[in-house]
Parts: sequence; structure tokens; C-alpha cells
Amino acid sequence: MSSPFENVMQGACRQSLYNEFKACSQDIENDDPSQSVEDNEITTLARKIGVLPTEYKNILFFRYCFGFSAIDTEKMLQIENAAGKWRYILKMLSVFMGVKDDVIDESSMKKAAQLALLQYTAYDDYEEQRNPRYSRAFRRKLKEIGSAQKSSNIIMLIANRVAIFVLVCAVSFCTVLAANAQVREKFFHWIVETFPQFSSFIPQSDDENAGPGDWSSVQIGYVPEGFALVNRLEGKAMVVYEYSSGDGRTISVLLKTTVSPIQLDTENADIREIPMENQTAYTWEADGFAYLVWQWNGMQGSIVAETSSEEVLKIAENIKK
Amino acid sequence: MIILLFDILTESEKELIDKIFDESNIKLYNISLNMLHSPADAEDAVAKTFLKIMDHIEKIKRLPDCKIAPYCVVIIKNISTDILRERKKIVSFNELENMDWGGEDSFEEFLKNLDQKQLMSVIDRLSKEEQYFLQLRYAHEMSFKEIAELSGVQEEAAKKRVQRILKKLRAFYEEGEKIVQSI
Repeated sequence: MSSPFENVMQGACRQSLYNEFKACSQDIENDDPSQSVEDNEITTLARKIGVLPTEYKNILFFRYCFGFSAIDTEKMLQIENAAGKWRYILKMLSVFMGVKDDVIDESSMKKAAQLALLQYTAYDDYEEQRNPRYSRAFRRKLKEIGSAQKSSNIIMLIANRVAIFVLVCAVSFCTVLAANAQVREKFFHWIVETFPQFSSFIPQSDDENAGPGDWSSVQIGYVPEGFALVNRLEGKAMVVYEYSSGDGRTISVLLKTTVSPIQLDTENADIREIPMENQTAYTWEADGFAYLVWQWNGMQGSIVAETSSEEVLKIAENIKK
Repeated sequence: MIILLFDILTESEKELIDKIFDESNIKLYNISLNMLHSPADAEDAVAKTFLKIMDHIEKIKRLPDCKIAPYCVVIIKNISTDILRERKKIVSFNELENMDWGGEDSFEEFLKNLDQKQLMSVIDRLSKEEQYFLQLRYAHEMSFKEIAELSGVQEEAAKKRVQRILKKLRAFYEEGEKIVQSI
């Protein structure tokens, strides 16, 4: 916020709006007299809908064009109090359409919303259409989303930088087993389940206590030339380092203390077992990425990198604590 | 074509998602790219859109065919708007700060001592229409042009209207309704 004026007015107006939504949601059952809008005014109403804030427009489209209930709208758009907001919008539009004592009737709203949707979703205006060249990371992301949803129907919001972190969290929450410091000294055994497009690496442990990791002392001593750290995400039981190169390649290093499956893309890949720190590690290449799943210092690690398997191994070998 | 691994989805749902992707991903990507001007963000928006579609496929499959494409556009625009909102710079309020409020102190000074709770109770005393103007301008940060379109007046008139409402608000706050009636 840049000025006291902005702070005070925004705060007060937002709170006033919130109260209004609340009051409107309690007012839903009231059968206000409704008034239809003349056919020649429907275009005006549609234009007004078109300039509403996106959330308001969406609420109207979901109700009048797609026929979704307020509850469905809340779930699908992840918004609160869709019913109260709809009522508020209806009253506001009624005032601005000069229907001051009544509200605009459903039929007029439906006609105008459908017209507004047509305008809102019109695509002809885009003269220059570019063909997306989805990155391998994007395709991988979609696959990962799929495999994570197999285990859990948790709604996941992914963003470029946190995709892997969130996905791993989602999977971890499904089947958190746990590891404490003592058991971290024991060797794990992996159970590897391979599906057509991905594999699930499940470390086996009889430990039942989760322990947070001490990530402050972890150091990644080697990354291939040209890569720089762009993001570090730390959770209680996991840490993710993200590196990027000037040409857009990425490396993600994940370390975690929870004993939960790591699901990775292994489609058409030849998974190799290699000894690492007296345990079995797995490495493969797929879709331009090199992968490594291993155990280190009682933790599980995985690396997904747009580089060679040799480089990935070198990264893992140079992680110090 | 995308390959999706959903054991929780039926074959027909998987086919529908694939069909939606094949038919609309380029369009959705371009809509998002036009809004965001960043291929990486547009990719991200497309990924999030399909995540939402997968999550609500049971409801979406009940939509008539002709509504599925508009639904996807609404979702990607919503997601792109969220991304834009994160980036958005704060609207400048210079035009209001510099106006003549008719008092000795500036409106800014007046607001320094303003209590938000009291201000809210004063907003409640405005007419519904006046409240809408303030909410659109300050809660939604809409431009005067947009407010003008919505309220059916000229842009300049919308600006003056907001200024008058703010004066009224101040009068309510400072001296009570009696003086307000003369504004």
C-alpha cells in the first residue's frame, strides 16, 4: 500500500463489501419483486456484466450460462460465499440499470449473461496466434499431476517454481510413514512399482515417528556449469533446491525425511540400479531429463535434471551435511 | 495429445479430457499469452486450467458440448487474472490526493487520524449506490472508465461522483448528517 489514503479506504471498503456479501447471503430466501429488462436494454446489461470484476462475471456465467449451483461455483472457482456475492451483484446491476426498488428477473439476467459470455470468450480478436511449444517440463508436470492424483484427490495448485515441491507434499500427505534420526541410520529397502508411464519408489522402514530435517547445514557442492540456484523451498520434512540455466534448463534436488513414495516419470525408460553409499539407487533418462532416486544420510533424495545421468550422479555425490 | 494417468477417472472422462485438450489447448494458451505476455506463465495457466478440468470433470461432462469451450475460456481467464493480480502494481491515487477538499488540512492528513471502524460505520450511512461506487473504486480498484461503463455515466462524471461521495463521507465523519444535507 502506497499511501495512508489507499490503506484506509481499501481496508474499509473491503470490509464493508465483506459485510454486504454476508448480509446478502442471509437475504437469499427473500423473494424480492423482480422486473424484466426490455430486449433493447439486454445489450446494455450484457455490457455492464462485461466490465464487472472477473470474479463477479464468473459467478454470473456459472449460474446463468453453465447452470452450476452456488456450492459448485465455490468449489470450482475456489471462492467464498458465491450465493451472497451473486445476490450483491444482482442488486448492484439492478441499481445501475435503473431497476431501483426491484431486482432484474432471472430471464433477463440469463439472456444478458449469455450475451456477455459470448463477448468474453470471443476468440477472433487474436490476430497473431502462436502455437504453444510446451516444454518437456510442462509435459512432465502433467504426468506428475496425473500420478499424484492417482494416490490422492487433493486439489493441487501448481506454479512453475513450486510444482515439484507441492506434488511431493501431496503424495507425502497420503502415505506419511516417517523416520526419526535413529532409523535414518538404518538402511532402507526400496519397493519399486512400475506403471506404464511412471514408477513409484517406496522406501521401506518400520519407523513410525516423523522428524523434521535440519536443512540449514545441507550444502550442494556441485552443480553443472551454467546452472544457478533460483529457488529454495523448505518444509518441515523436506527441502527442494531449484536450479536454472540461461537456456531454460532446470535441475530440481529434493531431500526429505518422510518415508513416502516418490513418483517419477519412467515412461519408455531403462531404469538402472546402481550402488550408492552402500545402498541401491536408481537412475534413468526419459524425455530429455535425467533422474536419480537414492538415499543419503538417512534421508531420501531425488534429482530431476535436464542434463546427463553422470552429472546427476555427481550432484548427488557432492551433497554434504 | 496428452497422456494422463487417472485411475480415478473413467475411460470416457479420460477421453473427454483428451478431447478438450486437443481441441482447445492452443486457444487457451493464446488467450493466456495475450493476457500475461509470458510463455512460461501461459504454460502454467494452461496446466492449472487442465488441473481444474480434471478435478471437476464429473460436473463438466454434464455441460452441453457447446458450453465446454466457453467454460474452459472462463477458467483460463480466471487463472490468468489471478497471475496478473499477483503482479499488479498498486493503482495511483494521485488525482484524489491532489484535489481540493475545501478544508484547511489535506485529505491525507484527515485520513491519518481516521479510524477504520468508524469509517466503515460512516460508509454504511451512504446510499447503496454510493457504496457501490466506493466499493468498485477502492475494494476492486476499478478504473473510472470501468465504473463509468457500469454505472452508465461519462468517465469524468464517475470521477466527480466518487469525489463527491468522499466529501460526503468526510462530512459524515466529522460533523454529522446535518451538514451533509447541504452538500
